[in-house]
Amino acid sequence: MMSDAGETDESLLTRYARGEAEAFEVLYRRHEMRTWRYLERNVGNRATADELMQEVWFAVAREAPNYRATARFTTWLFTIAHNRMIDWMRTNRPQASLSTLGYESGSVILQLTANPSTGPLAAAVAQEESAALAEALTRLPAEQRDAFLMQIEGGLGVEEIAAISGVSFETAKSRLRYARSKLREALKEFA
Amino acid sequence: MNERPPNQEDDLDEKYRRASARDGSGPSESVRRAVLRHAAELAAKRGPRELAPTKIDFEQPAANDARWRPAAYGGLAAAALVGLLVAPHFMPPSSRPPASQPPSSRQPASPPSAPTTAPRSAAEQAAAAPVPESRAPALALNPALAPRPAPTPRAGVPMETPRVPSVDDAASASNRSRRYAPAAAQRVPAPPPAPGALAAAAQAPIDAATALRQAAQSGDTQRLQALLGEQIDVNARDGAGRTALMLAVYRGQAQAVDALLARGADPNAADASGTTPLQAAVAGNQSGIIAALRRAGAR
Repeated sequence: MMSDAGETDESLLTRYARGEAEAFEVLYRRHEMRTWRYLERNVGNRATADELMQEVWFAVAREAPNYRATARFTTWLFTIAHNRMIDWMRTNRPQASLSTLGYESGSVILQLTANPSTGPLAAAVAQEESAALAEALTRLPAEQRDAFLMQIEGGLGVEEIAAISGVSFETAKSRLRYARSKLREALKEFA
Repeated sequence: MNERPPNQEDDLDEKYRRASARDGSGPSESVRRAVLRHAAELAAKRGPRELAPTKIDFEQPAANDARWRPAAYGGLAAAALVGLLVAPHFMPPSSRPPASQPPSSRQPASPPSAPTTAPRSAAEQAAAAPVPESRAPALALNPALAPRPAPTPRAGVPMETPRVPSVDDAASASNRSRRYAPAAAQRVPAPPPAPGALAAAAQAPIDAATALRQAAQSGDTQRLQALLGEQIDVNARDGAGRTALMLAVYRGQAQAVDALLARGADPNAADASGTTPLQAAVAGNQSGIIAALRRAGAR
Protein backbone atom coordinates (compact mmCIF):
# COMPACT_ATOMS: atom_id res chain seq x y z
CA MET A 1 0.00 0.00 0.00
CA MET A 2 1.37 3.37 -0.94
CA SER A 3 1.18 6.43 1.20
CA ASP A 4 0.51 9.95 0.07
CA ALA A 5 4.24 10.34 0.04
CA GLY A 6 4.58 7.19 -2.05
CA GLU A 7 6.28 5.13 0.59
CA THR A 8 5.04 1.61 1.12
CA ASP A 9 4.05 0.15 4.46
CA GLU A 10 6.84 -2.35 4.14
CA SER A 11 9.40 0.36 3.60
CA LEU A 12 8.13 2.33 6.57
CA LEU A 13 8.34 -0.69 8.82
CA THR A 14 11.83 -1.46 7.62
CA ARG A 15 12.88 2.10 8.34
CA TYR A 16 11.38 1.86 11.78
CA ALA A 17 13.22 -1.37 12.44
CA ARG A 18 16.40 0.54 11.67
CA GLY A 19 15.56 3.00 14.41
CA GLU A 20 13.49 5.70 12.70
CA ALA A 21 10.59 6.32 15.06
CA GLU A 22 8.94 8.78 12.66
CA ALA A 23 8.33 5.99 10.16
CA PHE A 24 6.33 4.10 12.76
CA GLU A 25 4.11 7.06 13.44
CA VAL A 26 3.26 7.37 9.74
CA LEU A 27 2.50 3.68 9.62
CA TYR A 28 0.40 3.77 12.77
CA ARG A 29 -1.72 6.70 11.65
CA ARG A 30 -2.25 5.07 8.27
CA HIS A 31 -3.68 1.89 9.79
CA GLU A 32 -4.99 3.14 13.10
CA MET A 33 -8.67 3.31 12.25
CA ARG A 34 -8.91 0.09 10.28
CA THR A 35 -7.16 -1.84 13.04
CA TRP A 36 -9.33 -0.36 15.69
CA ARG A 37 -12.55 -0.92 13.77
CA TYR A 38 -11.57 -4.51 13.11
CA LEU A 39 -11.01 -5.10 16.81
CA GLU A 40 -13.92 -3.09 18.08
CA ARG A 41 -16.48 -4.61 15.73
CA ASN A 42 -15.25 -8.07 16.58
CA VAL A 43 -15.23 -7.76 20.36
CA GLY A 44 -18.06 -5.25 20.54
CA ASN A 45 -16.49 -3.23 23.31
CA ARG A 46 -14.54 0.00 23.00
CA ALA A 47 -12.47 -0.41 26.14
CA THR A 48 -11.46 -3.90 25.12
CA ALA A 49 -10.73 -2.69 21.63
CA ASP A 50 -8.44 -0.03 23.08
CA GLU A 51 -6.67 -2.62 25.18
CA LEU A 52 -6.19 -4.96 22.24
CA MET A 53 -5.22 -2.10 19.96
CA GLN A 54 -2.38 -1.20 22.28
CA GLU A 55 -1.20 -4.79 22.51
CA VAL A 56 -1.31 -5.28 18.76
CA TRP A 57 0.73 -2.19 17.99
CA PHE A 58 3.16 -2.89 20.81
CA ALA A 59 3.73 -6.24 19.11
CA VAL A 60 4.21 -4.55 15.76
CA ALA A 61 6.85 -2.28 17.27
CA ARG A 62 8.52 -5.14 19.09
CA GLU A 63 8.58 -7.54 16.18
CA ALA A 64 9.47 -5.01 13.50
CA PRO A 65 13.08 -6.21 13.24
CA ASN A 66 11.82 -9.73 12.55
CA TYR A 67 9.47 -8.63 9.79
CA ARG A 68 10.43 -9.81 6.33
CA ALA A 69 9.30 -7.80 3.37
CA THR A 70 8.14 -10.95 1.61
CA ALA A 71 4.95 -10.62 3.63
CA ARG A 72 2.51 -7.83 3.00
CA PHE A 73 2.38 -5.55 6.00
CA THR A 74 -1.40 -5.56 6.22
CA THR A 75 -1.43 -9.35 6.24
CA TRP A 76 1.13 -9.35 9.00
CA LEU A 77 -0.73 -6.67 10.96
CA PHE A 78 -4.09 -8.42 10.74
CA THR A 79 -2.48 -11.73 11.61
CA ILE A 80 -1.28 -10.20 14.84
CA ALA A 81 -4.63 -8.49 15.44
CA HIS A 82 -6.59 -11.65 14.75
CA ASN A 83 -4.40 -13.79 16.98
CA ARG A 84 -4.58 -11.29 19.80
CA MET A 85 -8.35 -10.99 19.47
CA ILE A 86 -8.81 -14.77 19.55
CA ASP A 87 -6.52 -15.04 22.57
CA TRP A 88 -8.58 -12.44 24.35
CA MET A 89 -11.84 -14.22 23.54
CA ARG A 90 -10.53 -17.53 24.76
CA THR A 91 -9.25 -16.01 27.96
CA ASN A 92 -12.11 -13.74 28.80
CA ARG A 93 -15.10 -15.52 27.39
CA PRO A 94 -14.27 -19.18 27.56
CA GLN A 95 -17.87 -20.11 28.11
CA ALA A 96 -19.02 -18.47 24.92
CA SER A 97 -18.41 -19.83 21.49
CA LEU A 98 -17.21 -17.39 18.91
CA SER A 99 -20.58 -17.58 17.26
CA THR A 100 -22.47 -16.38 20.31
CA LEU A 101 -20.37 -13.36 21.09
CA GLY A 102 -22.42 -10.23 20.95
CA TYR A 103 -21.82 -6.54 21.02
CA GLU A 104 -22.25 -4.03 23.76
CA SER A 105 -25.81 -2.87 23.72
CA GLY A 106 -26.13 -0.51 20.83
CA SER A 107 -22.50 0.53 20.82
CA VAL A 108 -21.85 -0.12 17.19
CA ILE A 109 -25.17 1.27 16.17
CA LEU A 110 -24.44 4.47 18.03
CA GLN A 111 -21.01 4.70 16.50
CA LEU A 112 -22.14 4.03 13.00
CA THR A 113 -24.98 6.50 13.14
CA ALA A 114 -23.08 9.39 14.66
CA ASN A 115 -22.18 12.60 12.87
CA PRO A 116 -24.78 12.93 10.17
CA SER A 117 -23.45 15.59 7.86
CA THR A 118 -26.36 16.20 5.58
CA GLY A 119 -29.93 17.39 5.89
CA PRO A 120 -32.49 15.95 8.28
CA LEU A 121 -34.00 13.48 5.82
CA ALA A 122 -30.70 12.27 4.43
CA ALA A 123 -29.32 12.06 7.92
CA ALA A 124 -32.25 9.97 9.01
CA VAL A 125 -31.79 7.61 6.09
CA ALA A 126 -28.07 7.39 6.72
CA GLN A 127 -28.72 6.60 10.35
CA GLU A 128 -31.14 3.89 9.39
CA GLU A 129 -28.69 2.39 6.94
CA SER A 130 -25.87 2.52 9.44
CA ALA A 131 -28.04 1.03 12.13
CA ALA A 132 -29.14 -1.74 9.81
CA LEU A 133 -25.55 -2.52 8.90
CA ALA A 134 -24.44 -2.48 12.52
CA GLU A 135 -27.27 -4.72 13.56
CA ALA A 136 -26.54 -7.13 10.73
CA LEU A 137 -22.91 -7.20 11.76
CA THR A 138 -23.95 -8.00 15.31
CA ARG A 139 -26.09 -10.89 14.16
CA LEU A 140 -23.37 -12.46 12.08
CA PRO A 141 -21.64 -15.50 13.51
CA ALA A 142 -18.27 -14.39 14.89
CA GLU A 143 -16.29 -16.35 12.30
CA GLN A 144 -18.19 -14.76 9.43
CA ARG A 145 -17.92 -11.31 10.98
CA ASP A 146 -14.20 -11.78 11.49
CA ALA A 147 -13.72 -12.88 7.89
CA PHE A 148 -15.75 -9.98 6.56
CA LEU A 149 -13.91 -7.44 8.70
CA MET A 150 -10.56 -8.80 7.64
CA GLN A 151 -11.62 -8.36 4.06
CA ILE A 152 -13.20 -4.95 4.36
CA GLU A 153 -10.79 -3.38 6.84
CA GLY A 154 -7.61 -5.22 6.01
CA GLY A 155 -8.16 -5.56 2.29
CA LEU A 156 -7.24 -9.22 2.58
CA GLY A 157 -8.11 -11.88 0.04
CA VAL A 158 -9.71 -15.25 0.65
CA GLU A 159 -6.41 -17.09 0.76
CA GLU A 160 -5.00 -14.69 3.32
CA ILE A 161 -8.13 -14.85 5.44
CA ALA A 162 -8.03 -18.65 5.32
CA ALA A 163 -4.42 -18.71 6.40
CA ILE A 164 -4.93 -16.23 9.23
CA SER A 165 -8.05 -18.00 10.46
CA GLY A 166 -6.48 -21.43 10.18
CA VAL A 167 -9.19 -22.79 7.92
CA SER A 168 -9.31 -24.07 4.39
CA PHE A 169 -9.72 -21.83 1.41
CA GLU A 170 -13.21 -23.13 0.81
CA THR A 171 -14.26 -22.53 4.39
CA ALA A 172 -13.02 -18.96 4.31
CA LYS A 173 -14.72 -18.40 0.99
CA SER A 174 -17.94 -19.80 2.38
CA ARG A 175 -17.78 -17.59 5.45
CA LEU A 176 -17.30 -14.53 3.32
CA ARG A 177 -20.11 -15.51 1.00
CA TYR A 178 -22.55 -15.98 3.86
CA ALA A 179 -21.45 -12.82 5.62
CA ARG A 180 -21.78 -10.69 2.56
CA SER A 181 -25.09 -12.24 1.64
CA LYS A 182 -26.59 -11.51 5.05
CA LEU A 183 -25.27 -7.98 5.12
CA ARG A 184 -26.51 -7.32 1.62
CA GLU A 185 -29.91 -8.66 2.55
CA ALA A 186 -30.02 -6.38 5.59
CA LEU A 187 -29.21 -3.36 3.46
CA LYS A 188 -31.19 -4.12 0.35
CA GLU A 189 -33.74 -1.41 1.00
CA PHE A 190 -31.04 1.25 1.04
CA ALA A 191 -29.73 2.62 -2.21
CA MET B 1 -4.47 -15.86 -4.71
CA ASN B 2 -6.54 -13.04 -3.38
CA GLU B 3 -9.68 -14.25 -4.97
CA ARG B 4 -12.57 -12.01 -4.24
CA PRO B 5 -15.62 -13.69 -2.84
CA PRO B 6 -18.84 -13.94 -4.76
CA ASN B 7 -21.24 -11.04 -4.81
CA GLN B 8 -18.38 -8.61 -4.87
CA GLU B 9 -20.09 -6.58 -7.54
CA ASP B 10 -22.66 -5.21 -5.11
CA ASP B 11 -22.21 -1.96 -3.24
CA LEU B 12 -21.88 -3.51 0.17
CA ASP B 13 -18.33 -2.28 0.53
CA GLU B 14 -19.37 1.22 -0.35
CA LYS B 15 -22.23 1.17 2.15
CA TYR B 16 -19.93 -0.14 4.84
CA ARG B 17 -17.35 2.55 4.18
CA ARG B 18 -20.00 5.22 4.09
CA ALA B 19 -21.21 4.11 7.47
CA SER B 20 -17.69 3.97 8.81
CA ALA B 21 -16.97 7.46 7.52
CA ARG B 22 -19.93 8.72 9.53
CA ASP B 23 -18.57 6.88 12.51
CA GLY B 24 -16.65 9.30 14.67
CA SER B 25 -15.31 6.68 17.03
CA GLY B 26 -11.76 5.47 17.22
CA PRO B 27 -9.08 4.53 19.69
CA SER B 28 -8.65 6.76 22.66
CA GLU B 29 -5.93 9.36 22.67
CA SER B 30 -4.22 7.59 25.55
CA VAL B 31 -3.81 4.47 23.43
CA ARG B 32 -2.33 6.47 20.60
CA ARG B 33 0.13 8.19 22.93
CA ALA B 34 1.10 4.93 24.61
CA VAL B 35 1.72 3.16 21.30
CA LEU B 36 3.79 5.96 19.82
CA ARG B 37 5.77 6.44 23.02
CA HIS B 38 6.51 2.73 23.25
CA ALA B 39 7.58 2.62 19.62
CA ALA B 40 9.84 5.62 20.08
CA GLU B 41 11.44 4.03 23.14
CA LEU B 42 12.12 0.83 21.25
CA ALA B 43 13.57 2.77 18.34
CA ALA B 44 15.83 4.67 20.71
CA LYS B 45 17.00 1.43 22.26
CA ARG B 46 17.76 -0.09 18.90
CA GLY B 47 19.45 3.03 17.61
CA PRO B 48 20.20 3.69 14.00
CA ARG B 49 21.29 0.53 12.24
CA GLU B 50 23.03 2.43 9.49
CA LEU B 51 25.68 4.88 10.49
CA ALA B 52 25.16 8.43 9.40
CA PRO B 53 27.91 9.96 7.28
CA THR B 54 30.75 10.86 9.60
CA LYS B 55 32.06 14.37 9.66
CA ILE B 56 35.78 14.38 10.26
CA ASP B 57 37.34 17.32 11.99
CA PHE B 58 40.92 17.23 10.86
CA GLU B 59 41.97 19.89 13.28
CA GLN B 60 40.90 17.95 16.30
CA PRO B 61 43.60 15.62 17.69
CA ALA B 62 42.87 11.95 17.23
CA ALA B 63 41.38 10.20 20.19
CA ASN B 64 44.26 7.76 20.25
CA ASP B 65 46.91 10.36 19.56
CA ALA B 66 48.70 9.80 22.85
CA ARG B 67 48.78 6.05 22.50
CA TRP B 68 49.69 5.32 18.93
CA ARG B 69 53.47 5.41 19.41
CA PRO B 70 53.63 2.83 22.21
CA ALA B 71 51.14 0.68 20.35
CA ALA B 72 53.11 0.87 17.10
CA TYR B 73 56.48 0.19 18.74
CA GLY B 74 55.05 -2.59 20.83
CA GLY B 75 53.60 -4.18 17.73
CA LEU B 76 56.91 -4.00 15.91
CA ALA B 77 58.74 -5.50 18.86
CA ALA B 78 56.28 -8.34 19.11
CA ALA B 79 56.59 -9.05 15.38
CA ALA B 80 60.38 -9.12 15.65
CA LEU B 81 60.26 -11.50 18.59
CA VAL B 82 57.94 -13.82 16.74
CA GLY B 83 60.24 -13.71 13.75
CA LEU B 84 63.24 -14.67 15.84
CA LEU B 85 61.41 -17.58 17.35
CA VAL B 86 59.95 -18.87 14.11
CA ALA B 87 62.76 -18.30 11.64
CA PRO B 88 65.06 -21.13 12.84
CA HIS B 89 62.35 -23.63 12.15
CA PHE B 90 62.42 -22.74 8.49
CA MET B 91 66.20 -23.14 8.17
CA PRO B 92 67.48 -26.50 6.92
CA PRO B 93 69.65 -28.32 9.39
CA SER B 94 73.34 -27.58 8.85
CA SER B 95 74.68 -31.02 9.59
CA ARG B 96 73.89 -34.27 11.24
CA PRO B 97 74.30 -34.40 14.95
CA PRO B 98 77.62 -35.80 16.08
CA ALA B 99 77.82 -39.54 16.37
CA SER B 100 78.97 -39.29 19.94
CA GLN B 101 75.72 -37.66 20.95
CA PRO B 102 73.86 -39.88 23.40
CA PRO B 103 70.98 -41.73 21.83
CA SER B 104 68.60 -40.35 24.37
CA SER B 105 68.83 -36.93 22.75
CA ARG B 106 68.21 -38.20 19.25
CA GLN B 107 65.28 -39.49 17.37
CA PRO B 108 63.58 -42.67 18.51
CA ALA B 109 66.10 -45.42 18.32
CA SER B 110 64.06 -48.26 16.89
CA PRO B 111 63.98 -48.23 13.10
CA PRO B 112 61.02 -49.75 11.36
CA SER B 113 63.24 -52.52 10.10
CA ALA B 114 64.19 -53.62 13.60
CA PRO B 115 61.05 -53.95 15.62
CA THR B 116 61.46 -54.75 19.25
CA THR B 117 59.48 -57.34 21.04
CA ALA B 118 58.75 -55.08 23.98
CA PRO B 119 55.21 -53.73 24.16
CA ARG B 120 54.97 -50.30 22.66
CA SER B 121 52.84 -47.43 23.64
CA ALA B 122 50.32 -45.91 21.29
CA ALA B 123 52.53 -42.91 20.85
CA GLU B 124 55.43 -45.07 20.03
CA GLN B 125 53.39 -46.95 17.50
CA ALA B 126 52.29 -43.71 16.00
CA ALA B 127 55.87 -42.48 15.76
CA ALA B 128 57.02 -45.71 14.22
CA ALA B 129 54.10 -46.11 11.89
CA PRO B 130 54.95 -46.58 8.23
CA VAL B 131 55.36 -43.30 6.48
CA PRO B 132 52.86 -42.70 3.72
CA GLU B 133 54.36 -43.06 0.32
CA SER B 134 53.64 -39.54 -0.57
CA ARG B 135 55.69 -38.35 2.34
CA ALA B 136 58.45 -40.86 1.97
CA PRO B 137 60.51 -38.96 -0.61
CA ALA B 138 60.62 -35.91 1.56
CA LEU B 139 61.80 -37.91 4.50
CA ALA B 140 64.36 -39.74 2.42
CA LEU B 141 65.79 -36.48 1.14
CA ASN B 142 66.10 -35.12 4.62
CA PRO B 143 68.89 -36.85 6.45
CA ALA B 144 67.77 -35.52 9.75
CA LEU B 145 64.50 -37.39 9.41
CA ALA B 146 65.73 -40.50 7.69
CA PRO B 147 65.53 -43.68 9.73
CA ARG B 148 68.75 -44.37 11.47
CA PRO B 149 70.24 -47.73 12.20
CA ALA B 150 70.14 -48.79 15.76
CA PRO B 151 73.29 -47.84 17.61
CA THR B 152 75.64 -50.72 18.20
CA PRO B 153 76.84 -51.23 21.72
CA ARG B 154 80.46 -50.43 22.22
CA ALA B 155 82.71 -52.43 24.36
CA GLY B 156 82.82 -51.18 27.92
CA VAL B 157 80.07 -48.66 27.36
CA PRO B 158 76.70 -49.67 28.77
CA MET B 159 73.89 -49.35 26.30
CA GLU B 160 71.36 -46.77 27.40
CA THR B 161 67.80 -47.82 27.43
CA PRO B 162 66.10 -46.17 24.48
CA ARG B 163 63.77 -43.46 25.51
CA VAL B 164 60.16 -44.19 24.89
CA PRO B 165 58.93 -41.60 22.44
CA SER B 166 56.18 -39.44 23.73
CA VAL B 167 53.18 -38.02 21.99
CA ASP B 168 55.10 -34.78 21.68
CA ASP B 169 57.79 -36.57 19.80
CA ALA B 170 55.32 -37.96 17.33
CA ALA B 171 53.70 -34.60 16.83
CA SER B 172 57.04 -32.91 16.54
CA ALA B 173 58.23 -35.36 13.94
CA SER B 174 55.07 -34.87 12.00
CA ASN B 175 55.45 -31.11 12.17
CA ARG B 176 59.02 -31.27 11.08
CA SER B 177 58.19 -33.40 8.09
CA ARG B 178 55.67 -30.79 7.02
CA ARG B 179 58.07 -27.92 7.57
CA TYR B 180 60.93 -29.42 5.65
CA ALA B 181 58.91 -30.70 2.75
CA PRO B 182 56.16 -28.22 2.02
CA ALA B 183 55.93 -29.26 -1.61
CA ALA B 184 55.50 -32.85 -0.68
CA ALA B 185 52.95 -31.91 1.92
CA GLN B 186 50.91 -30.20 -0.72
CA ARG B 187 50.85 -33.39 -2.72
CA VAL B 188 49.44 -35.27 0.20
CA PRO B 189 45.77 -35.80 -0.43
CA ALA B 190 43.51 -34.08 2.02
CA PRO B 191 42.20 -36.29 4.80
CA PRO B 192 38.84 -37.78 3.98
CA PRO B 193 35.89 -35.77 5.28
CA ALA B 194 34.42 -36.80 8.57
CA PRO B 195 31.61 -39.25 8.11
CA GLY B 196 28.30 -37.47 7.92
CA ALA B 197 27.50 -33.85 7.29
CA LEU B 198 26.47 -33.42 10.88
CA ALA B 199 29.99 -34.11 12.02
CA ALA B 200 31.24 -31.57 9.53
CA ALA B 201 28.72 -29.07 10.79
CA ALA B 202 29.77 -29.79 14.34
CA GLN B 203 33.32 -28.89 13.47
CA ALA B 204 32.20 -25.61 11.95
CA PRO B 205 31.76 -22.51 14.08
CA ILE B 206 27.96 -22.86 13.87
CA ASP B 207 25.88 -25.63 15.35
CA ALA B 208 23.95 -28.17 13.33
CA ALA B 209 20.57 -26.52 13.86
CA THR B 210 21.90 -23.20 12.62
CA ALA B 211 23.48 -24.94 9.65
CA LEU B 212 20.13 -26.51 8.89
CA ARG B 213 18.35 -23.17 8.98
CA GLN B 214 21.00 -21.59 6.80
CA ALA B 215 20.74 -24.39 4.27
CA ALA B 216 16.96 -24.10 4.25
CA GLN B 217 17.08 -20.36 3.86
CA SER B 218 19.58 -20.43 1.03
CA GLY B 219 17.90 -23.34 -0.71
CA ASP B 220 21.03 -25.47 -0.52
CA THR B 221 19.10 -28.71 -0.85
CA GLN B 222 22.20 -30.89 -1.09
CA ARG B 223 23.47 -29.69 2.25
CA LEU B 224 19.98 -29.73 3.64
CA GLN B 225 19.48 -33.36 2.70
CA ALA B 226 22.83 -34.26 4.21
CA LEU B 227 21.91 -32.53 7.47
CA LEU B 228 18.46 -34.08 7.51
CA GLY B 229 20.07 -37.48 7.22
CA GLU B 230 21.50 -37.03 10.69
CA GLN B 231 19.94 -36.95 14.09
CA ILE B 232 18.86 -33.36 14.20
CA ASP B 233 15.95 -31.38 15.57
CA VAL B 234 14.26 -30.31 12.38
CA ASN B 235 12.05 -27.89 14.32
CA ALA B 236 14.86 -26.07 16.14
CA ARG B 237 14.20 -22.33 16.26
CA ASP B 238 16.32 -19.24 15.98
CA GLY B 239 16.13 -16.19 18.21
CA ALA B 240 12.94 -15.03 16.52
CA GLY B 241 11.28 -18.40 16.96
CA ARG B 242 11.63 -19.30 13.29
CA THR B 243 12.19 -22.88 12.24
CA ALA B 244 14.11 -23.98 9.18
CA LEU B 245 10.77 -24.51 7.47
CA MET B 246 9.66 -20.97 8.21
CA LEU B 247 12.89 -19.53 6.85
CA ALA B 248 12.58 -21.63 3.72
CA VAL B 249 9.03 -20.36 3.28
CA TYR B 250 10.09 -16.76 3.76
CA ARG B 251 12.70 -17.15 1.04
CA GLY B 252 10.41 -19.09 -1.26
CA GLN B 253 12.67 -22.14 -1.27
CA ALA B 254 10.09 -24.67 -2.45
CA GLN B 255 12.48 -27.63 -2.67
CA ALA B 256 13.77 -26.97 0.81
CA VAL B 257 10.19 -26.78 2.06
CA ASP B 258 9.42 -30.15 0.48
CA ALA B 259 12.52 -31.71 1.98
CA LEU B 260 11.79 -30.38 5.44
CA LEU B 261 8.15 -31.45 5.34
CA ALA B 262 9.17 -34.90 4.17
CA ARG B 263 11.47 -35.08 7.16
CA GLY B 264 8.60 -34.26 9.52
CA ALA B 265 9.00 -30.52 10.00
CA ASP B 266 6.02 -29.07 11.85
CA PRO B 267 3.95 -27.19 9.22
CA ASN B 268 2.18 -25.21 11.94
CA ALA B 269 5.19 -24.04 13.95
CA ALA B 270 4.58 -20.33 14.34
CA ASP B 271 7.35 -17.85 14.99
CA ALA B 272 7.58 -15.47 17.91
CA SER B 273 5.08 -13.09 16.34
CA GLY B 274 2.52 -15.87 15.91
CA THR B 275 2.94 -16.10 12.16
CA THR B 276 2.62 -19.62 10.81
CA PRO B 277 4.43 -20.95 7.73
CA LEU B 278 1.14 -20.98 5.85
CA GLN B 279 0.46 -17.36 6.67
CA ALA B 280 3.96 -16.43 5.55
CA ALA B 281 3.53 -18.38 2.33
CA VAL B 282 0.21 -16.72 1.64
CA ALA B 283 1.62 -13.30 2.33
CA GLY B 284 4.53 -14.03 0.04
CA ASN B 285 2.22 -15.33 -2.70
CA GLN B 286 4.03 -18.69 -2.80
CA SER B 287 1.35 -20.85 -4.38
CA GLY B 288 3.50 -23.99 -4.67
CA ILE B 289 4.58 -23.75 -1.08
CA ILE B 290 1.02 -23.09 0.06
CA ALA B 291 -0.08 -26.31 -1.61
CA ALA B 292 2.78 -28.26 -0.07
CA LEU B 293 2.04 -26.88 3.38
CA ARG B 294 -1.64 -27.68 3.08
CA ARG B 295 -0.86 -31.24 2.00
CA ALA B 296 1.27 -31.53 5.10
CA GLY B 297 -1.62 -30.43 7.29
CA ALA B 298 -0.86 -26.74 7.68
CA ARG B 299 -3.69 -24.69 9.03
